[in-house]
Amino acid sequence: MRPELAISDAEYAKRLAALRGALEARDLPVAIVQGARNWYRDHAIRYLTGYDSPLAPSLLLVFRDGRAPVLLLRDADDLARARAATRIAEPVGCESLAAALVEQLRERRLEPRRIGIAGGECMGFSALDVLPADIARALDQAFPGSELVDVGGDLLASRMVRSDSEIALLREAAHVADIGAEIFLATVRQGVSERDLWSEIWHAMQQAGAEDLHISLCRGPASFWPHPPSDAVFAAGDIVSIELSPRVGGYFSQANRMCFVGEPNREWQDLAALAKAALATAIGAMRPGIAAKEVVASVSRLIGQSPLATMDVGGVHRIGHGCGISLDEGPFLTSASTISLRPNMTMACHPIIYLPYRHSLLMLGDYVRITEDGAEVLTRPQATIPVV
Amino acid sequence: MPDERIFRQRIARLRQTLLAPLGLDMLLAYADDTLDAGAVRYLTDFDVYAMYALVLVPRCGDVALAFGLHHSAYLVRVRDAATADYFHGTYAPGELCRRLLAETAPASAPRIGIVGGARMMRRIDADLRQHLPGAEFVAVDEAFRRLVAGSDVEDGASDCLRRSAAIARQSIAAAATAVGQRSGREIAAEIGFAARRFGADVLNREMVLIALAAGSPLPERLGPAAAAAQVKDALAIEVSPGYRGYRTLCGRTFLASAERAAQRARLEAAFEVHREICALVQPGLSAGGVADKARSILARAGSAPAPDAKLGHGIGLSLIQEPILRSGNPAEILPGSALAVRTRHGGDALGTIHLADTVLVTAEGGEVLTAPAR
Repeated sequence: MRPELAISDAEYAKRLAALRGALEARDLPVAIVQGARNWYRDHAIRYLTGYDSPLAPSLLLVFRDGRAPVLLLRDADDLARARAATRIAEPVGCESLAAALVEQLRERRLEPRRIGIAGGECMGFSALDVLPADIARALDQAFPGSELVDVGGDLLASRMVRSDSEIALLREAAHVADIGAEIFLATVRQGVSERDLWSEIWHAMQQAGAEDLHISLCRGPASFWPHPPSDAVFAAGDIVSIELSPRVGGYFSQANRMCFVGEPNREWQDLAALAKAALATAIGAMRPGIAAKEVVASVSRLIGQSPLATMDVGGVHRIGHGCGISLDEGPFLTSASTISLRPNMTMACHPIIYLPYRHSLLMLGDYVRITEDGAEVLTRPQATIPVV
Repeated sequence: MPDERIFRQRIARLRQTLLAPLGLDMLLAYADDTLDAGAVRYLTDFDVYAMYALVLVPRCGDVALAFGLHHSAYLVRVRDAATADYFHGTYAPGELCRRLLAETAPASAPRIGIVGGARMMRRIDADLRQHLPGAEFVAVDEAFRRLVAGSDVEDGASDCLRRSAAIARQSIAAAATAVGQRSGREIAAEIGFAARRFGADVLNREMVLIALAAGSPLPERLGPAAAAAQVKDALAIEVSPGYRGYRTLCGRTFLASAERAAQRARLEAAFEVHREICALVQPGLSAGGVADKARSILARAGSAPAPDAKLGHGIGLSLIQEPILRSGNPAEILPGSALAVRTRHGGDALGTIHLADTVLVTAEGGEVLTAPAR
């Protein structure tokens, strides 16, 4: 990442002030912010401090009264890097997060009756849901009768609209996704293994500046599910959808690219046209003030006219999601989502179109920013869906 | 697809040597962290990918794997990647647990052993307790560790560890040529590329862990590759690739310049000390005892570690597991297990030399899987 793109201390201070505002509003003396590794569940701590949790869970204690936040790390080997990563919190190494948390609260003579909990949200689970049992029990034993209050929702909502510096980072991340997409289209062909394709894309995106990344793939004539790579090789008849999500400066972007493997035929032409039309419809419908479910409905209407495809698996139609600090975050673009789009929200837009007759799916997508009057595509759109 | 026989054998052994002697009606193995999901992987081969997984092993009957992300696409993935009798996508596994117990254990107050329970998500924990109001939950992490170590050799785990070690060695060797020419990020990209080509698990970022330190003097701590912007003089690398879930750890320090004879000699001396410490790992000893001896050796060599320093840890299906090599830890080093020995050697202009190797513990002694590499 270019150093000039780094999030400033002033912006971190603003984020912290917003959380303290939420504590004030709910009369909470302290918030415990969780950072877990799996599925990038360190997103809240990264947002507040710039520190990720590469090997072990961490906790951030944010005090309403303005005292410096404390960052508890179970991975004490990472203390030096944590100190370099954040100037807004004081990193402290520990063996047990639960014990250190109680010790920190007692050291500060806090005997909280109500404790804010944030961070770690994932797949519809709230911060309270994902709080580890040992931490919940330690708090209950140390402060009997204390009430745990979710403040993670406030934090998630406040970060949906990006600042200018966040958008600059996301443009950079979108550029890295484009590089991954180029390598995908240059490498995928019959006889190449998923593993080798993966390795080439990974290498290229890492060289281009991705500090972390996530890739998933649908391949094969019956590729209903995105999966990690196997040693299987691409073969004629494969419908390939790949999701490329590089992280740069703490921010994920996402591009979804497609190809067909084999000889050109009329079916591939139809499916390519459908995938491109669905994406164009979605992006064309995006503008400030529109509800996410209305954007989804416009795509659903289009797909509903096709005899080949459906969006209806599990009763919810999905065309994308917010993507930035976390890989999957709000606003969620589903048929159930009532949230209104606002300028400078950014999201991965990738209509998921199921092909029941093939037990497969189409997923073409770009990373977009909501502007004052529409949507700007930050990744370079795939011009054609080739047959390779 | 996993070899189902191995996992059937493991379940049978678990029932015979852990559930029965401890009087348990069921074992629950919980994980929600890819790097710390060894128990779930051991019992089902499932690689925890997102959200949580819970293995339910009653005294007899079906073994169930409950997992988050319960849409049907993910169920396809889970069935493809794991072995169990029943797969159940749910965010509330308590009812499933109650049903399985009702089929196999008539007791109104069942005893349930839990592995990994301390990190269990509060919502899962609450759901289990709500559906099993009279149950007694018992943490059995240490007993489970002994079970796993005891069966490692017979079910091919040591072969996987050897393969992981070979990948670690090969990928580090591939990176060594780049020292002095590339940035830390570029070198990490080369290591990852090599490891994946050599057969490392490639789920996502966690599968090939790479930590670097670069500069003159070399820093005391390793960090993610992005932190090592320039690699001009020296580079320390730690690599941990997974192979069928089994991890090893290999760490080496390289010099970019061939003219620095004094520093080369320092590197050689550090390696000798490190090798001496690796040789301390023997079955039957306590982790604390090994750590104390290692501390003495390092102190004699002028690199005394901090009193609470970790000098290594168990490694295998989880990246960091018991026994932790730290003073005072009574945990026994068990045959069939593996330990990552990590030493730091400092004290001159070169900075901190980082070395790490993985030692397989057998009944006869220790075998350094990741050596030789100088």
